[in-house]
Amino acid sequence: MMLEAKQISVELGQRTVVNQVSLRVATGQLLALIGPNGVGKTTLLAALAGLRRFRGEVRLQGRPLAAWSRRARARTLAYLPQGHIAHWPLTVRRLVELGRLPHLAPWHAPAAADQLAVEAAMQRTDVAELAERSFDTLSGGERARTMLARVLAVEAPLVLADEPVAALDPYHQLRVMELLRDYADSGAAVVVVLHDLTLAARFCDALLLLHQGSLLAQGPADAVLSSAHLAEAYRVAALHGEHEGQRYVLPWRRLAAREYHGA
Amino acid sequence: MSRIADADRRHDRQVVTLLVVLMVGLALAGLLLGSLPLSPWQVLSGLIGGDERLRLIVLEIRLPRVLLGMMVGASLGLSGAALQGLLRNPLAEPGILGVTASAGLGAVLALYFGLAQISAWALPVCALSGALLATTGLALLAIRDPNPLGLILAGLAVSSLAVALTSLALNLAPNPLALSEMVLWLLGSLRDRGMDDVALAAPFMVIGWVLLLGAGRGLDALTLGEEAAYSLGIGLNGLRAQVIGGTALTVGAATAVTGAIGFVGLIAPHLLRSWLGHQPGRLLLPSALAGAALLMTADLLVRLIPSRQELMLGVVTALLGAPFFLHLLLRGQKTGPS
Repeated sequence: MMLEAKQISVELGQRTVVNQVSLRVATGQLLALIGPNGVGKTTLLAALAGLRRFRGEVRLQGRPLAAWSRRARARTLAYLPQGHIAHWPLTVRRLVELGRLPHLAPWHAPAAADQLAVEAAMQRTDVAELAERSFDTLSGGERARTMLARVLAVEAPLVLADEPVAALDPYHQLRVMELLRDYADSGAAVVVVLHDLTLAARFCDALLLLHQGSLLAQGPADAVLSSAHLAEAYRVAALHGEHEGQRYVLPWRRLAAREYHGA
Repeated sequence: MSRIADADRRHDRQVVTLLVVLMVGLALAGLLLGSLPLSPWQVLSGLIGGDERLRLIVLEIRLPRVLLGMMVGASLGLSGAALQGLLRNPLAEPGILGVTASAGLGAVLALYFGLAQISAWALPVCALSGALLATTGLALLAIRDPNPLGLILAGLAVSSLAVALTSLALNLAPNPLALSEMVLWLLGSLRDRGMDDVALAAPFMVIGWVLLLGAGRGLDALTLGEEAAYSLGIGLNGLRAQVIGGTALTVGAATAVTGAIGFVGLIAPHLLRSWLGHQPGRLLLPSALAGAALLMTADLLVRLIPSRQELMLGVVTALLGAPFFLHLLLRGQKTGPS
């Protein structure tokens, strides 16, 4: 098992933000973390990356997360934070190159293999033509794709991505989901936080629906995205349909309080 | 493809070479020029100890001054670049951690209690102790705080306390002579420094330089923010300790032998930033060289500008630096982090 989390709880101050969540993701799997704003998706993902104190156990390739050396962990687990921040206006190439840091020997310049990984990651995310542009001249979508390239350049067998398609146009949303699907199929495990239910249903092997810090449902899209679950977690009613054998879910209207309490 | 990346690295080497040439040129100028201009031949004979009078001028007066200017400038430029990277703030400079003010307090106390008259080592040793003590306090306050603002505030607190105590010492100065001695020392100068000052500062500075130059990768990763840097295998507490410790050693030692010299640490990285792709790690070594060149230039000005009393170096760097600082503020967003 690439990543296995048992009974994870995270407290921020007095508040329990993530409550007893367990999950497993294997090589070849693309897993979606879904749920409304503020239910602890980001906190859970950050805990899995070792960025939050948590109770419970996280095992990366069978070994407890804390037992990994920093560099070995960084080569195995790549993490894409929300927000796509670069504090200095580096060029796209230089930012993507940062993904190779866990592979570089101290005081050595990037080797040919590193250059290849950087180039491949930029090709995959369609930012190769932007390579020499500085980050502060990019559009929101271009920034998101640059940061995704940075994460892919790590070539880690596990990728944790927090809202990689936020701020992307429909074309690039589909492009990024295809890319994460391909990345998983080529022998990696991917956990991705998503707000778009249709993208989650179409591209992911399994969905985890979080509600108030706990797991409300997990499994294949059909089971997780039921009307009852959507009403309880999101307080919306959605249109469900099928096209070319794939399921789509279109949130349609907000529910009144009595409707979702009854659910 | 990797041709472009190679060209980038060649560009960096060219920048470094250019700055080294500039620095060596300024060092030579520092040996040749002065109230008594010397020929290269005279400097050479002074260095190998031919003529006694030349030996005195070159080896005892000009060489230590040139070496200290280089070392102190490099320390200020390097720690400025490292701190700007760590705090991700283009307005950060070594003084922000309170290291300069604390070293100044140490020196003023040595003068106040007359320790400086007992031994020539007393003043720099007290200054350095002040810097290291303050840094320990700072580290205890803020090293585990992931927010750069926490470090800035802790530095401000340390700095204010040191400045307040320094003012108290000035206020209670035993006599006018001691007062003027303390004030002049605080203004910063490379005048009348000897090779023993070089020898005292060098070990601390060298250790500090190694620490700061080694922080490049971590500072590059911090461009992506703390969490991404951590996920790339960077130990954040270690990185903070490395940069703060390196700054304390280099700037503490610099202040101990020359007094407070402002603005070099702020300006050196700025002059180079857009030239080196805004990348913190690539800026470190060039900022050290540029800092050295800046301070040696300022010291040449101090020595060559005819004035009734030799201008203090810290005064000149502040006079040149303050308008530059204002210029940066007015240009604001353009050089700031995006």
